[in-house]
Amino acid sequence: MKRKAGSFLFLISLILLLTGCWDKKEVEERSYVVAIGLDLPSGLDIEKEQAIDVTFQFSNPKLNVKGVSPSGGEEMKDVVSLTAPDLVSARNMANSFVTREISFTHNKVLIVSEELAKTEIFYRLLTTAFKDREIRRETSIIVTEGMASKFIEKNKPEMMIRPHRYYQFLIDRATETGLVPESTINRFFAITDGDADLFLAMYGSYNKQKDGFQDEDQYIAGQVPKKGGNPVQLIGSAVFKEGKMIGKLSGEETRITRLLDNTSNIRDLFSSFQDPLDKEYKIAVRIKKTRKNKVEVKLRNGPPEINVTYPLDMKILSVPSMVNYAEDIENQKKLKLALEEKLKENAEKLIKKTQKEFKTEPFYWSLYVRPLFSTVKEYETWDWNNKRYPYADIHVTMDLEITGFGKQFRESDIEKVID
Amino acid sequence: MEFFSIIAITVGLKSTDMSTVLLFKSGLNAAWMIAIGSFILIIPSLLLVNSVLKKYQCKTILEVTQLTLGKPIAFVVAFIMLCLILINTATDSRSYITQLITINFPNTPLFILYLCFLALCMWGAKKGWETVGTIAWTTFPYLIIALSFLFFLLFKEAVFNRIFPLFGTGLWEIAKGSFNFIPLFSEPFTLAVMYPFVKGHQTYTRGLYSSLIFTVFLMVLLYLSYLWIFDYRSIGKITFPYNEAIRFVTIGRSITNIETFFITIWLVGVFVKFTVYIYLISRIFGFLFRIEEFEHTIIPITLLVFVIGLIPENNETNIFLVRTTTTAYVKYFILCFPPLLWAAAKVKEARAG
Repeated sequence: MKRKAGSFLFLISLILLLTGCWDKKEVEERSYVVAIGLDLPSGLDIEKEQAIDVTFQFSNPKLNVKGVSPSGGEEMKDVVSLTAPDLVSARNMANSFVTREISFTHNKVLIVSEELAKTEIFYRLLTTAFKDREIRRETSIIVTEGMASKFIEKNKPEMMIRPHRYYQFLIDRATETGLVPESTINRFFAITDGDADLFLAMYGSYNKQKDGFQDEDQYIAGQVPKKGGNPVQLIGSAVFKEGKMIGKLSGEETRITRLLDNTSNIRDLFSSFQDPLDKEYKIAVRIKKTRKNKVEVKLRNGPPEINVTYPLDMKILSVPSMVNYAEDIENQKKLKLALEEKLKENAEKLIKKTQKEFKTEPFYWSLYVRPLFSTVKEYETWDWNNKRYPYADIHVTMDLEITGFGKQFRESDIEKVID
Repeated sequence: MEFFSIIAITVGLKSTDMSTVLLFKSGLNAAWMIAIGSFILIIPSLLLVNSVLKKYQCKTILEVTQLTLGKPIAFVVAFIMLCLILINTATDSRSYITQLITINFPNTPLFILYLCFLALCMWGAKKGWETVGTIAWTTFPYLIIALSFLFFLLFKEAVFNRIFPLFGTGLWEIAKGSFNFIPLFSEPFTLAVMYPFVKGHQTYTRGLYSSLIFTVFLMVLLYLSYLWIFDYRSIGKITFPYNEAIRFVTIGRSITNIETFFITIWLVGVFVKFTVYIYLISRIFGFLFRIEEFEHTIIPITLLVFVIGLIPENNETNIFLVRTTTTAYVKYFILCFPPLLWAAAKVKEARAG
């Protein structure tokens, strides 16, 4: 009897458990979004009505099957755009023509048009969209010149057919080289809610082919002169203050910002400088940051004093002027001095710019102001970003070390070669 | 050892649920100090209870109360204890289930998931205290491994200076917060009901203190990691910091979305926690109404928890209203009852001697 009752209970529980998979969804039944684009709707007044243009790019599950070659020539219809009240409801609206359940769990990027980023509604949309359980904090924000939907459409990754990998690699590589900042949503919220610093987002563009050659990191997105390849570029950064975009920085400025910011690390930074002994040529160097910046803030009556020590390691990679730097200590000294001078000048120029133009800093230096206060209230009334930083005296001290000269320490003797 | 892990799980898991939100609300970036402060505040009470328990070997805290303060008071105390722990268990379990639903199972009805969850806890509790202890002890290492792994991964994302300004809302506010959050450590007192089940007084004391210190350390570390990755203003808006934190971490750059690993182990911990609670309730209930075979009351009590848990309309009212009002009383209970008990025991001893 007891056994019978037991097995009966067991069967009942089986019914409960096996029918209970409300949330079971096969991978087949889902469409994974790899990029979301947000635009201001055209022809609608957002002052009067809340609306937004949402673009989804889906990953194509067909291509992920091993051994199946992607059917060539077939146009991929995996980008859709629609106008919706907000991001979360756009997901269901899209289901009027997308058959599968739309999932954000593997979304890597949020692409926002500059136009939208400059309005106040952007912050509202983002914070509320964040209630959705599938939007993840490590999603990166990209601001594009022009429409976000165009950016996604024009994006034709070469060498990589799977779009989710593409975005991941694009972002990883671009942040490694320091030309764009790290801009996860988590960082966006930490900085914007902390209300003391500027948040930098990656700045992207599809090519509009402007002419003119500059140093390798002077460009902003869309201006890198090139031929062929993917029309989409990521370089430079969009500057956000209090949740709103207020300006942009070039690739070079972004690099300096990231070097001055202890919370971001750059792996692989190649740059070029004018050769101090032969002004016609440029020296290519590889910059590494192995030591942390020292930021000392001194509170005084009036504007605070900030002393920044900015250590860099540098490897000289190419010296087209053929000046012998490796063996000649005198030359090396001159080179070091000149480089330090140049780096310092660049950094100071950028700091001046942020003080004047943005009225606060993108270097996350508020972190070094915080230990000076014992309570949040004191710190917040002291008001680092608006009242103090723009008037602060900032001194930059360079600490440059030339750590090597590449795997060929001397250039060949040019006169002998030509002769 | 089992006792050690039971305390560590029941108390430690609080740093992964919604009480974290309340903690950060009152302490901002000094929330971790509040956890330490509360712990320091309960130490005297703990010591007193312990000394009384030592005197009356092999008696539960309730039986001791009965001996020293008389039957009516013991009844009242047990009744208060029962009410508090019952409400606490109900709101807490509801909160955990909501957490699970919001993040992982958006389509599953609360009713069913809650029922399944409590049924499993009930089944565990039904097996008896020894089994509960064994389960706690076996799952404990896995929890610790998962947590250390999580810390390790979170450290990569951490910005350590976010801990400043050091005192958050100010020293006085922290002191007040510590006082308000004393109920974080209510378990050591309710678990004193299980005193006779532990091998001896020394095992009990050693287990209790080492476990509490260890747990406080873990909680502080977890609070600090939340702070380090989210910053104090952002964290105030996050409903479930633990879930956000485990979703945030990645192993390298290709292994992302690894939260399932942490969720599973966390869930096992939650099961153990509520199994312990349900068992405790039935134990106190048994004492209150003189039921020798109190383990038979586990099923109706689970149902009661289930029904109470379903009452609040949403989790936010549950936490912000019900929890804050009940905990307001718990702290007085924790602070006042042990000295009373101790004094009564002393008086009795003096009279007898």
